[in-house]
Amino acid sequence: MIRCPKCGKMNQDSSRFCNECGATLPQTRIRCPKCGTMNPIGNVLCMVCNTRLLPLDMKLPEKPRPSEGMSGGVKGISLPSLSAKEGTPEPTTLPDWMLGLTPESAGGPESAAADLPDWLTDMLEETTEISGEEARDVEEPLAPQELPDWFSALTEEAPVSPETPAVEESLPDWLADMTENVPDRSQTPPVMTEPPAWTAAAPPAETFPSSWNQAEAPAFVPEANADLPDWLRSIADAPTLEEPQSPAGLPAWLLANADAPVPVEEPAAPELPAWLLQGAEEIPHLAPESVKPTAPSSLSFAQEPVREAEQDWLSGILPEESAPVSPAEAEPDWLSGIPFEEPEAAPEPAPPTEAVPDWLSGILIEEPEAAPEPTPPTEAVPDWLSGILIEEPEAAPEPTPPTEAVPDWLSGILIEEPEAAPEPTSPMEAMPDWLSGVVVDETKSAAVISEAPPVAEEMPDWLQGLTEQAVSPLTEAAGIPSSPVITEAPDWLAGLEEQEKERPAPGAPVPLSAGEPSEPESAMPGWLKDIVPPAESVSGIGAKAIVVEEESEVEAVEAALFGEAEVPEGPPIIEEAMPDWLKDLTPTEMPQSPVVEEIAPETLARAEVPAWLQGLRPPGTGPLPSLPEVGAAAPEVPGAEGQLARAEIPEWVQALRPAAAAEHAAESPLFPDLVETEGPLAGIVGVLPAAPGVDMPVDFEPVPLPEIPEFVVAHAQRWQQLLEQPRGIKRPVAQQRARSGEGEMATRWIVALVLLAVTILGLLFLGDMHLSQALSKPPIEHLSTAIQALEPGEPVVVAVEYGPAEAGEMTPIAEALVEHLQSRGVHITLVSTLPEGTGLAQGLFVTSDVSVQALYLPGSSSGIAVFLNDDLKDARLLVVLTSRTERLRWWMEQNNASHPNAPIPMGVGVSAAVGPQALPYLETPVVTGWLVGLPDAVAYREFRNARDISLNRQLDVLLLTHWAALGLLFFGLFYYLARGKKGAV
Amino acid sequence: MGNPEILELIGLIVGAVLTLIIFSYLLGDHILYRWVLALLVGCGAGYVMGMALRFLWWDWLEQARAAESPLLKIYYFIPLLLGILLLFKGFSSLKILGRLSALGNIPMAYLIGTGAAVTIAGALLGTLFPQIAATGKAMTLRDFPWGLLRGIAMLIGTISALLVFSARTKDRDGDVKPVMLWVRRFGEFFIIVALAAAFAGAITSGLTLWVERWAELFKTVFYFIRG
Repeated sequence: MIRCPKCGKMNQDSSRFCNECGATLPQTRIRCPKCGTMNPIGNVLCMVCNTRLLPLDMKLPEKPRPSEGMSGGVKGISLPSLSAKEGTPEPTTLPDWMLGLTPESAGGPESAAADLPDWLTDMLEETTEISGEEARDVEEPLAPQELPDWFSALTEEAPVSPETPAVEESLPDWLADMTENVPDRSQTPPVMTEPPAWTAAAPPAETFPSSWNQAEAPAFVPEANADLPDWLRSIADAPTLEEPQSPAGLPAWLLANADAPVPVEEPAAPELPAWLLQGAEEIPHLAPESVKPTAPSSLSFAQEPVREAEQDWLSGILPEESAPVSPAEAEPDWLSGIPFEEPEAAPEPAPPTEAVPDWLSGILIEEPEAAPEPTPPTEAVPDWLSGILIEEPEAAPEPTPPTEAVPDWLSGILIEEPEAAPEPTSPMEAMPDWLSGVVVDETKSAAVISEAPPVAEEMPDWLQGLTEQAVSPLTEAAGIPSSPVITEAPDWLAGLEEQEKERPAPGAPVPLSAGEPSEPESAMPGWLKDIVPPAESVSGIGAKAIVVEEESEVEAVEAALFGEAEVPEGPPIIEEAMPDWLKDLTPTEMPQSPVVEEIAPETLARAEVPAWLQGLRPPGTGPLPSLPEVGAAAPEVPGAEGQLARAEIPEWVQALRPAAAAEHAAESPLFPDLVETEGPLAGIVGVLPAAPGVDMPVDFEPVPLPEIPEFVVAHAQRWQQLLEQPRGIKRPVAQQRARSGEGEMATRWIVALVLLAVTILGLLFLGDMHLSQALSKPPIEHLSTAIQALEPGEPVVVAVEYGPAEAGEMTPIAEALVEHLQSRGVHITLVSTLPEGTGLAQGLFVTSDVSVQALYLPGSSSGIAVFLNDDLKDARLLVVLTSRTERLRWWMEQNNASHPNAPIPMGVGVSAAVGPQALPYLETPVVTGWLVGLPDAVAYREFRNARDISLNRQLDVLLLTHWAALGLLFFGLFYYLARGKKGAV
Repeated sequence: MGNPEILELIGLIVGAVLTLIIFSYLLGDHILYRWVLALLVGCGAGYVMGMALRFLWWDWLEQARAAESPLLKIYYFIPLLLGILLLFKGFSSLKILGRLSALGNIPMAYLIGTGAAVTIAGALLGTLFPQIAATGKAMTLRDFPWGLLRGIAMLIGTISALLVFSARTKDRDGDVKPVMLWVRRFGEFFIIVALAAAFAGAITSGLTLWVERWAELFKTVFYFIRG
C-alpha cells in the first residue's frame, strides 16, 4: 500500500495516482518489464529474472515534497540509494556547525575567504604561488582506485612537471605547511614546499626538519586546492617558505601559547635523519638526485607508482627552495624524517633515505648499495624521532644486509646506535612545537627519563616523550607556553614497548635518550634519541617486530605498530641484513621513562581551543570534559618492555589541547576522571566516551517512565512464573484437538444419509399422511383478513426482495399471497430493489392471465424513499416478500419516514431464517400480518381453504427431516458427553 | 422461439443436474461444484448487468433523447455525466485515466451523502423510535399476568442485551464492575437465546430448500417416467 503524500490516503502499490485526490504517487515498487514482478525501488536488477530495471543513464528521482495538507510524515516513499559521487549532502541537510565548512554553504571558494577567520585571512594575503619550476615530476600518477582517499585527493590536481614529482603537489596542506620551516639537517638542503599558513606562521622554519625541504618541490598552486574545504584551502594557499616568516604572522592561538617568538629564518634544506638515509641508501632505484619517497613494498600497496605517490605527499610537504635552515631548529624532527627530493642546487646527492619516509622506505627493496654520504641524522630527524634514532650525521652509513629486509619505518623502531651520532645541539629546538612537548628535552630528558616509571619503558621512545613536558623552541619563539604532554601512551604504542622488551636487541642497543649518543653501531637519529631514554633499548621491538623475510614484513610492521605480542614465524632476524640506521635504533638500554605521575598537573598547561575549533562543536553538546589528572599512570601495555621512551610533545602541540576540558574536568559531571581502558586511546584520561557522552546534550533530562497499571504488572508476573516453572511440572496448555479427516467425512456421510433417507422415503412413500398440522396464528388471520378487505382496483404494491437462491422457500409464500390478491382484483404493482427480483416477480404471474411488469428500484433505501414519496401515494397495502432483514427494514423505515402520520399498511412474508430477526419489526402496528416460512404458507392456504397437496407433502417431509436433524443433534451430544473432556473440542 | 415444453424440459433437466452437482459437495469440494457456483454467480451478475442496462441506461437515455426542452435534457444529462465520472474510479492504476480517477469522487460523494441521509432518517423514524415504543408497549396489563411478565422479560432482556456492548459497565482497569456483572450475564443469556433462534431459523430454511429441491427432482423424474 502506498500512502498519498498529499492527502495521506492509502492506495494500492500498482496505483500511480491517488484515488482520493489524484496526486501522483511515489512508486514504492518497480515492475519488471519482462516478468512483471514488483521489485523494490532500490533494485537495479529484477529479483526474479535478473532483467535490468533501471536504464543506464537514469537519474535518481528527487524526493517528493510533502504538501502542507499532508496528515502524517512522508510515507510510501522508498528513498533511492545514491552513489558515492552523488551522495554529497546538501548544505541544508548539514548540521549548523558544518554549514560554514562546506564550499557550497560558504558560497563557493570565492566567498570562502570571507568566512574565514582573520588569522586565516591574513595568511591568505601573504600567500604566494609556488614557482612552477620546482614542480615535481609525476612519473606515474596512480589510478584513483589504487590510492587511498587521502592520496587521491592530494594527487588529484597536482601540476605535473617533468622535473619534480607531482606527488609533492598533493601533499596535504598540513604537511606542506610543516615543511616550510623544516630545518636543514641534511648536507644538501632541499627546497621546501609551500607550507600551510597555520604552520608557516607559528613554527619557525628552523624547527622543521630539513628533510622536508625539497628542492624539487612542486609549485604549490592554489588552484590545485580548489576542491579542498575552505579551512584547508586557506592553509594550502599559505605563503611559501621563501618569504621570511615573522612571528607576527603566527595565528593568535599559537602566539598566545608560544613561549617565545620563533625566529623565522630562511627555510633550510630539509635533512633526512640518518636512519632514513641509511634505509634509502639501500634502495637501488632511488638515485640521490631523484630521491623520491616510495611506498613500502611489503605492504599491499602498488609498487613503484604507489611508492612514489606516497613519497610525493610527504616530499611535497617540503619547501621548494632548499634554503639553508638552521639545523635542528628549522624543522621538526619528525618532519625531517620524511623523505624529500633533493633540490636542483643541491651539490651532493641526498641519500636515498631522505626522499623515503620512514614507514615507506623500510618496505622498499633493501638491496645493499653504496650509500652516499649520510647527512647528519640529528639534524634531519624530527625531534620526535630523534630521540629514537641515534643520529650519525658525519659518518656514512654503510648498508648492511640485515637492513635490507627491515623496513625503514620499522627499523626506526629498532634502537640502533648510529655510527657516529653527534649529539644534537638542541633536539628540542629541532622538533616542532607540537612535538617538542612530547619529546623529552635533551637537557631534561636524562633526568626525566631516569625518573620515568617502568611503564614508560614499555613504550616507544617517541611516545615516551609524550609523557614529559617539553619545551619547543618553536613554541618559545612563538611565545606559546609549554603545555602539558600526554602522559599515557596509547595501547598500540605501549604494545611496541612490550614487544621490545621481549626480544633482545640484535645489535648494540642504543639508549633512547634524547641526544645522548649511543653506541656507534646503532645510529639513532637525534630526534629519536631525544625521545628514548638512553638506558632503554628498543632492540626488543626491532627484534621482535621486524622480520627479515619480506613476506613477513607486513605482519611484523603491524605487530610492531599495533603492539601485537605474537611475532610472525619466520627466520630469525639477521643483524647483518639490517640497515645501520635500523640497527642504530636498537637500543641497548632503555632508560626509564619519566614518571608520569610525578609531573605536576599544574605544570601542564592546557591549550586554548581556538574559536574556529570551538565552532566545530556540534550544537547541543556541552564543553568537553576536562582531562583527568595528569598524574595518572599509563596502563601497562602487554608486550612492551619499556624500551622506547615517550615522545615529547612540543609545547605548541600541547597548546592545542583544549584548555576548558582540563579546567572543568573535575567539574564536569559527565566524565569525572574517565580513563579510557581499551583501544588506541587506552590509558588516556579525559577521552570522551561513546554515544552517551557525545550525543547527550548538556541539559538532557531523562523522561520519567509512565506508571504501569497493576494488572499489567500482575500479568507480567504471572507470565514470569509460568516461564520459570521447571519442565517437569505440567503446565496447563490449551491444545486444539486434532481433527481427523476420516471422522469428519464419516460424520458428514452419516448426516447426509440420514437426511436423504428421510427425505426420499418421505417424498416417495409417505403420501398424504398429514403428519404436520399447520396451525393458524393471529398474524396469518389478520393478513388474510386485510387482503380480503381490499376492493377491486385498489392499488397494492408487492415488493419481491429475494433472489433465486431463496426462491425455493419464498415462492410458496409469494404464490399464496399473490393468488389471494389476484382473487380480490386489486391493481398489483411489482417492485424490487434487486435486479433478479423483477424476474422472479414476473414468474409469479406466469400461470395467470394477467401480465404485469416489475419495476426495478435502484439505490436501495433511497430508491424506496423516492418510490414511496412519488409513485405510491394512495396504495392500500404494501406487501413485502423478502428473505433478507435489511430489505424489510428499508421498506419499513421508509414507509414510516415518508408517511409519518399514516404509514401504509404492510403485509410481510419472510423466510424461516429471517423470521426471528424480523420479529421486532413484525410486531408493530404498521404490519397487519405476516407469514414466516413454509409452515405459515401452508397454514395461510388452509385458512383460505386453498390447500395444496404438494405443499402439504413437502411440509410433512420437512417435519421428518426436522426430527432427523434433532435426533442427530442429540446423538452427537450424548456421544461427546460419553467420551468425556478428551473428546470435547 | 422453440417449443415451450421442450424448453421447460431442458430447464428441468439442467436444473436437476445442477442440483445434484451441488449436492455432491457431500463427497467433498471438486471442480464441478466450483463450476456450478461460478455459474450461479456469473448468471446473477450477468442478469444484473442486463437489468441495469435495460432499465437504467436505456430507459434514461431514451427519456433524455425524447426530452424537448433543453432544461429537461440537462436534467437527464447530469446523472449520465455523474455516472461517467464514477467510471473513472476504476482506472486509478492507468497512466492517463488514473489522473481522472479523482473526478469519480464527485458522484461518490453525492451517493454516499444522500444514502447516509436517507438511512439515518429511516433508522431514527423507522427503527429506533418504533422499537422503543414497541418495547414499552409490551408491558401491558391486557393479558395479566403472563402478558405483564412477558413484557417485563422483554424489557429486561432488551436493556441487558444492550448493556453487554456498553463500555460503561467496565472500570478503568478493564474489569467489569461488580454491580453490572450480573446484568451483563443476563444480557448475554438473552443474546445467546436470540442467536440460537436465528440458527434454528437458518436450519429450517436450509431444510426447506433441501426438501423443495428433492421434490423438484422427483417431479422431473416422474415427468420423464410418466410422461
